[in-house]
Amino acid sequence: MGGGPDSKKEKLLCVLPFQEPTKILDRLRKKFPDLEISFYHLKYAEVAWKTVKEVPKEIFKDITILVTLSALPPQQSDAPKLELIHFFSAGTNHVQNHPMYKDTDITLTTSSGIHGPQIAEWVLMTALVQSHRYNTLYEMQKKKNWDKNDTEGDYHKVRDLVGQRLGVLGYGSIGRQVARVAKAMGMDVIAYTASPKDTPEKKKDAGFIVPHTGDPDGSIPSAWYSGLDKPSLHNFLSQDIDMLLVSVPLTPQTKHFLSTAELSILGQRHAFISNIARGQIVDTPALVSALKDGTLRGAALDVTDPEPLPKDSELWDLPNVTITPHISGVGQAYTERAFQVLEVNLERRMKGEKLINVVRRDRGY
Amino acid sequence: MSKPIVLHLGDDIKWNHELYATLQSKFTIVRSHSISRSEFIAALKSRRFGDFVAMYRPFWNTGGEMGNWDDELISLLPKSCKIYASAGAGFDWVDTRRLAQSGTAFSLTIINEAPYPFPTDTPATPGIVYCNAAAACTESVADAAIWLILSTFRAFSWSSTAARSLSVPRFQDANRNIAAVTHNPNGYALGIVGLGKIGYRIAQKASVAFGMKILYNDIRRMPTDIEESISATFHEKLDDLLAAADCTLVATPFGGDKVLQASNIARMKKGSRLVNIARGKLIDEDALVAALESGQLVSAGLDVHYDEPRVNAKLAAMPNVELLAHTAGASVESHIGFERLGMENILGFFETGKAVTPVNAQWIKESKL
Repeated sequence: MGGGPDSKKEKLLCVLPFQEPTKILDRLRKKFPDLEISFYHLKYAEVAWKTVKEVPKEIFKDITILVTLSALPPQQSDAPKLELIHFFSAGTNHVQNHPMYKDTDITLTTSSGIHGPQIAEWVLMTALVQSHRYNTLYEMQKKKNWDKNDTEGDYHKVRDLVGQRLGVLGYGSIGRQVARVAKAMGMDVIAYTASPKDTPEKKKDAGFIVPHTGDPDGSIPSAWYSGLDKPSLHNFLSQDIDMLLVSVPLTPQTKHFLSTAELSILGQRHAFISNIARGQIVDTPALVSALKDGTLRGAALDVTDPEPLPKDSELWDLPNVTITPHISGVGQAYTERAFQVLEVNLERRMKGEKLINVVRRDRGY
Repeated sequence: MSKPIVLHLGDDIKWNHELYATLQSKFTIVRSHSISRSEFIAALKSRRFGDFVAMYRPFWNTGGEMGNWDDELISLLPKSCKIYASAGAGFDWVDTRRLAQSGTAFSLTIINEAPYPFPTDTPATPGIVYCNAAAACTESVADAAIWLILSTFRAFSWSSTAARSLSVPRFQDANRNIAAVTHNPNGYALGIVGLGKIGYRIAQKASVAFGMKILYNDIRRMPTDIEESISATFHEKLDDLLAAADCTLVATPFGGDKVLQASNIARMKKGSRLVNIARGKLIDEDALVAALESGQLVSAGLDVHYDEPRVNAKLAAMPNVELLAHTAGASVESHIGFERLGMENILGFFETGKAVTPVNAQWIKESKL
């Protein structure tokens, strides 16, 4: 502090594709005076055949902490002092083949936990658009049609969410926020996780939680289920689920997690399915079938397989399907919240405490 | 990684083969040849040409069949397109401002299919640069301007049409009467409106070869060394220039409005002359006709016309008006230059980030979509 040699200061470098958010960083600089924080604005080179963003690898040589979206030092020897990499993204699939991921033990943290509020709004919005028949109401407005006798409206068939059951397939930060909102709407919530959460401690959310949101203690679900094997999955799906939220990460185990058999179980209550995770978790042809023949009452998809969804996909025109182009999680609060996660970890690091949102390389997330 | 695509509008190139080979080594060239506007629109909508990064139009005569580049066409361009380099000096047929505003206001990174868009103060993907090829036809246009200036002083149009008419009386009339009403331009003031590359080259030739005094008006004043090289006097107000010049020459780009309204023409020096090598729509043509009819202006020389390809019949009937069919820039040298400069613009832009002859750079910086 004040007058000490440079080598005492830890060096944090942000390599991100936008201008330095000076307000946020100045606040961090004040809060962590022993930390030298610099910012590299990553720009796409204006050269057609060099579409990779170019970062001179020299910038990594003295840093101890890196904040990045995808830019990484080519290998560990280019960043010998690096101890922590904080990713601005929720996941790290995009770097899992990179030497810094595969060949080092450097702590990796993600910005998981910040997407919940906005995605939960999307989930409720798209579910209600269908249950309240909003699309036809919108068309009526466009035609300036006030005729309540118009049978197109179907508005008398609305069934509100009170007493309906939400099954959250993947009770992570997004699932928890959807659960919180659904509960407030009067729904019953049941949760599913890969590994069993059979103690109060395990039910807690140990990651980043946007203040006043989520389910920190895991008290919202009326029942918990777990297990990546088919019988366990089928057991969960048979619990009279009216609406299924797909919010598991995509891993080798969850690829095509939901196929014909699983959708058929959900067909018992003609469930509504909402996917904000990854398109490949659902077997798309099976999904299309189930939506066409009434097995499922409808679907809201922010993610598809593949992306972009090809123009000839039947999903576009199905009347009971709402599609958006993978935008449910992008919003204005993103940058601020991603730096909040970093701030929590910088505090914990300073105090020698365990960090949050640490990537488990064996698990993939 | 496959090469980025350049869309080549119009005919095969004719002259700069080595440079074209360089272009081909760095880009995949896709051809549209010459197709109608409706076919071009359909092609853009169906992405027939792919996600091209540049458009190249080597010739004035071909590659422009789709007509004006307005919002309808520009909005169909792929987001990958960064630059449009075309033959020709004028660009009133392309909305260069709209091209500049095609950028996005955020930088988009896709990670694991998820979009991470971050807002930026300056556009993350700036709009489309438009490059003209005025530099390649400067010499031709300047020479044509000299022709028109000389004609306005020496009544060559009257003399020429009289000789061609095969009418002896007309020949004799011209032969006897032209001297009394014509002058050497030497010592007279040439007032240039728009001292760009073309205006400057005209000033050089007019002053050095013909001894004319140079006056100029422009939206910005030139540095002293430029002014001194042609002994030019700056007139900040257009009307002051018009009152002082013995021959006014219009050499500005066309930005949508007239530069010589009727009110400006009224202020031109009595007995002076007007030359236009820029764009017909820059001048109130009816007011020009009236000024010639009244004798306020003694002559005019026009390469460009208000309603091309139709020439004003009244002007055509006047012996003291020299008319050309918009050929000021037409020469083999200009065309070789157009063909070359378009490629130089594209290669330079992708090599260094800067085009050689952009005309809409000011809007690309300011664009805040």
